[in-house]
Amino acid sequence: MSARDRMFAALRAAATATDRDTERMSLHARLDALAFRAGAADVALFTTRARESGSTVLRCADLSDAARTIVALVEEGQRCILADDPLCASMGLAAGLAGKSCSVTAVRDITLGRDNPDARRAYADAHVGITVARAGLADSGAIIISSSDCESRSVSLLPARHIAMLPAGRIVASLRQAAPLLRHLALDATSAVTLVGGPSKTADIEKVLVTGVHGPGEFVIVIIDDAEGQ
Amino acid sequence: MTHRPTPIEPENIGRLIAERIHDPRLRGNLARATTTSLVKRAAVVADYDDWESMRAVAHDIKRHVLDHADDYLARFERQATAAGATVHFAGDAEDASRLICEIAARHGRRVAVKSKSMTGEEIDLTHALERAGLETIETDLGEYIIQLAEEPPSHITAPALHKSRGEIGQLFSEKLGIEYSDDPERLTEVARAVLREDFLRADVGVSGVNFAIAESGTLCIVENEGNARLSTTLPRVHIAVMGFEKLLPDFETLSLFLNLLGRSATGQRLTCYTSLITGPRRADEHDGPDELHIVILDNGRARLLADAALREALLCIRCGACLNVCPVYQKIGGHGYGSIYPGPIGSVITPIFRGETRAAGLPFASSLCGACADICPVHIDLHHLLLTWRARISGKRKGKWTERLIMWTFVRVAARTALFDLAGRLLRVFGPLLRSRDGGLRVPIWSDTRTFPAPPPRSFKQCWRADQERPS
Repeated sequence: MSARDRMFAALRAAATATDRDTERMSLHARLDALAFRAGAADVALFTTRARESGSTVLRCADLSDAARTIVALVEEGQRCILADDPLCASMGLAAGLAGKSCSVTAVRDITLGRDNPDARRAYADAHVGITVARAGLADSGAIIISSSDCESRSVSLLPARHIAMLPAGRIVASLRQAAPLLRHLALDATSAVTLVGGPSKTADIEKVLVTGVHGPGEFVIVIIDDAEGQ
Repeated sequence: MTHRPTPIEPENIGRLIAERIHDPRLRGNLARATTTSLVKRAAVVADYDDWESMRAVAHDIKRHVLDHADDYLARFERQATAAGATVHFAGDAEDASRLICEIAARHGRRVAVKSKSMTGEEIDLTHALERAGLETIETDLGEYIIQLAEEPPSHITAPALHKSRGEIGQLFSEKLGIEYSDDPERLTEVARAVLREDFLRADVGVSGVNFAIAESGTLCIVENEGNARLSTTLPRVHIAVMGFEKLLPDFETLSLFLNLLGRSATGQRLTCYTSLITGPRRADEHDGPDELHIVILDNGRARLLADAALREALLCIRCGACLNVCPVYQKIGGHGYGSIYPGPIGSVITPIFRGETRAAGLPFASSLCGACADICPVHIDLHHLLLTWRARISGKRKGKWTERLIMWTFVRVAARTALFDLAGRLLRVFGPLLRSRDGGLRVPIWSDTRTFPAPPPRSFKQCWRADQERPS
């Protein structure tokens, strides 16, 4: 008998005869009666909670305001990597950054081939990675990002600073409300979804909080109230 | 005389405790660290006034998954496989290590980066990988520190909790050749730079798993540093190891567990990074591993599942809150138990992993105060599980003759009112002769490390009678 067969046999032997789906439905009903799912999809709460976790939060009226804000955040001459999101393209961000003599590379222009250490180095040496969030969670101040043909996993991970744009309409009350989105992403769209709740941090030395241990030491969320374009 | 520390093994628990209880520096480190954790936790648990209901629902969800574990595991396997992952099964620690080493070393791969995994510790994975010829680097800062120090972890979520910044500074200056500093910022910066290069050259990433979502075959890994993201993104191969008890039905239930885990473990509403990984990199994606292997481990879990009195131990989500709140852990730290999983939960599950005889002392290293059961986010009745173990272990051994004599006498005295009163009177008369400096009584061994309360001048009965006679 294989290890697999042995494990399944043991689990079957311990299983109860109750109906799994009926039980699960009743657990879902109890879960949905809990307070944590009842909060508001509130921009102000999102902002407070995100700041409490060490994130920087900036709020912009529209796309051009957001572009100006991000360009102002980035320092002269820094290396930036930009997700190929339609949002980035429509707001003219690349042009704005280039005007500040920053080098701007789009994710699609970096071939992260298996045997291309230069590409990884390009990510590791970048100052800023810019992405677009799929959703924001008001009760924790975290955002949801995902890997796709326009956004690599590395762009939000290797550079020293991660800037994420978040259209205000994508803020939901809690992770509970984001469950359908997570299911869709996992089943149909992507191998990697990440909830980002602040800058990379550790408290492994005497519980002293230090940011930027492996991931970006600075995490900026730019909330865009009207992201529908001009 | 050279001081040789006692090997950190559960059968040495008596000596391990004795060594640690007299180490003021360790006790200082522990007190600071556990108090900080508890204060931070309390602040975010206060977000909800129905925290108790959250625990109850979480408890029942985990019970439900265990009751239907065969269904959920089959579903998980099907979905993970459909997403392109390879699912493996391992009966025990040795099988799992062998399997993982075999996958890791394929095609001449040489460097493995590992993110923190208690299950990895349980099967001694790092050493197995090293023996298989792979350079293996622990990348969680705490794990990296103890790997440099060649020590096992002492806490489930904060492995280097027993070390002070000075000790870590000393260690870094010796092993990494940097100038001594005890500044946590500087030490972290050094570790980041060294480890970043390791990530860039690694062939294999090894991780644990916090939750496995049956409906989609997704692995959920939580962390704060980003090393788990790096380990599961940069190398071509990702190997994840997990027990079947990590299963959850769907993303709805996951949302509750992530809320409980972050708060209980580190006092965060959500940890910095929660990775949800479904299969290896897809064709249209830019990065991520080409291969994802998921190793599902039994190693005594099926036996625990079949054991009706102890099965609840499988509900554990490894947050470490029961360690922080435990008055025993607060004094002796993780190494005092000698087991991979320390604290109350460790004392319940180690006899399963290491065998009842080797870990027989662990269920007794508890005051049974119940603080662990009160804080547990999935409401495991930990102190009752400890009692279950005590009953089983005591039932099988005779104990010391002194202990048996004392108990034999006590049973006879306590059952007869006249004898009990006489014993009390004798103790009140002659007790003061045994008085020690701390105001208690000197009782061999017992009072070496604690105060044996001196008898009060009057017995309860005397007080009661006096109270009744007093005119109201």
